[in-house]
Amino acid sequence: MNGRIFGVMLRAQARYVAPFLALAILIAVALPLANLQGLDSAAAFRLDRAGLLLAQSSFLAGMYPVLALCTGVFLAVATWLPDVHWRWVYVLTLPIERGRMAALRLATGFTLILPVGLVLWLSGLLAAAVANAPDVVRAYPGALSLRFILAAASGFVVGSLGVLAGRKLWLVPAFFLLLVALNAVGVPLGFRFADLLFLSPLSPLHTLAGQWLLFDV
Amino acid sequence: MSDLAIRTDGLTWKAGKSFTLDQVDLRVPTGAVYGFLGPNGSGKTTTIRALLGLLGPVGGKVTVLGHDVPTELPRMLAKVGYVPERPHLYQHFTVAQAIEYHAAFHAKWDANWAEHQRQRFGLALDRDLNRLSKGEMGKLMILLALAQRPELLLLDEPTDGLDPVVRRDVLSALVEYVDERKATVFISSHLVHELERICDWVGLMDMGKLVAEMPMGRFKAGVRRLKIAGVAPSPDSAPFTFLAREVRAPGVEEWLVRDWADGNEQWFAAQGATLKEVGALDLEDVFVELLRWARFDRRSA
Repeated sequence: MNGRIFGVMLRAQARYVAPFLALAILIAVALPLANLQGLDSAAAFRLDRAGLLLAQSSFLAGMYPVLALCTGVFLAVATWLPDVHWRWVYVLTLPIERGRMAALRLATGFTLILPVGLVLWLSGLLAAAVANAPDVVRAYPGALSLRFILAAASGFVVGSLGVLAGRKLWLVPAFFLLLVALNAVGVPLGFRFADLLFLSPLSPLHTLAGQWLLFDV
Repeated sequence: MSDLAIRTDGLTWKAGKSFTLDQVDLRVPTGAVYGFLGPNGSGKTTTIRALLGLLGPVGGKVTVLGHDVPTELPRMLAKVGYVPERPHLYQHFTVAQAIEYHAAFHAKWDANWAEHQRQRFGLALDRDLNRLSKGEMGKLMILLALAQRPELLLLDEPTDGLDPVVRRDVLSALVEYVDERKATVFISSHLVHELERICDWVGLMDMGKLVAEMPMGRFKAGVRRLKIAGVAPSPDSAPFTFLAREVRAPGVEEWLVRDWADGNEQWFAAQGATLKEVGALDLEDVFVELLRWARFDRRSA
């Protein structure tokens, strides 16, 4: 029964977010290939091919976490929004434990992230093959796509918590305002909190702060 | 199987300062078609939501089909078909998707019956739910609730706003199911005449309180409006239950009484009063009079 429920939920969710998923997949195809921009003319301008690849890779590195976070958060909002809209009546009158339902929802969200990660990996492999990179430069499509999947999953969890928090969500901006105010009076708790949020291995947002380079030495 | 499909003891819930469910003690016999009457805002929908475990912590004890609410919710919900007052299905679904989705959660889902009923209701599989008319949505919701083969149906104003043809379709599907399965039905409505035709028990809510609960026969047959001329006697020793009185003109009073029986006229003669008229009330009159009485009683208290 669990498998059947998961299948039905996954199909329903996939249909609902299909246009967004298509857009995310399109961007996932384009981003690794954008590393190749300018490589054809590199020789003509006597530029170092390795340097150009690394520069492009660094320039694009910021795009991957943004795409991952957007994918995760959007999928989370799309997963829970119909229930918020109908005040949870339908989902709470289905004969299933609430914890199990939440776990199934998380599972469908994570599953829908996989195709985007897979396309990113394939596109990264293609870019690495076409780039014909010098020996000093190495491509990391596997690590990049794995990082993307983890970051998008983190985005999904954070987005889900945001939606489930409901009206209590106002506490988040209030908390940030408090940190800014404390910073203004010389108590730099905000920086410590940012470190905790992005650099602590226990934080779900930890993956966003790492290396996002397709090409590196 | 328990004698009671639904039992609440001291069910209490407070929503802000404005509304309270106040010590509601429901007793819904297994197999009954129980009409849950009350004016708008009387607490019918809130009570149904409490039965389904949708309200969060409530005071008192709620038992549905022998299962404690909320500790045994999933097991209880597997046996309960619910049609809410307002549509609650995901609007991005088509009819086919809504049926497929709902079926996956119900082990006893009767796919053949659902398909037969869908055709009978004229619901196209590829129609988006956000494009269904109110009547079509009502039909779909009753189809989903019945195809899961429930032991108990909780219906919250299921025909409210539907045209007479759709209302008849929905009610006949319901009556057929109950006839076949001997299921219990708990149906709330403010359309009194609709319930009169199908219910054998009645509960009356007003301002968060259950003010009356009785078999439909007693609800309809035992209530009378009496016109008394001359000096009206004291009702204290009457062989019926006195509910309310109103002075119509000097020397003419109207009484509302319950538990009226043939031969009670003689009591007036023995008291030296003249009973001019005994009027039967239709269900709507009884409903209105009982509400009026309950409110008068509360004000007096």
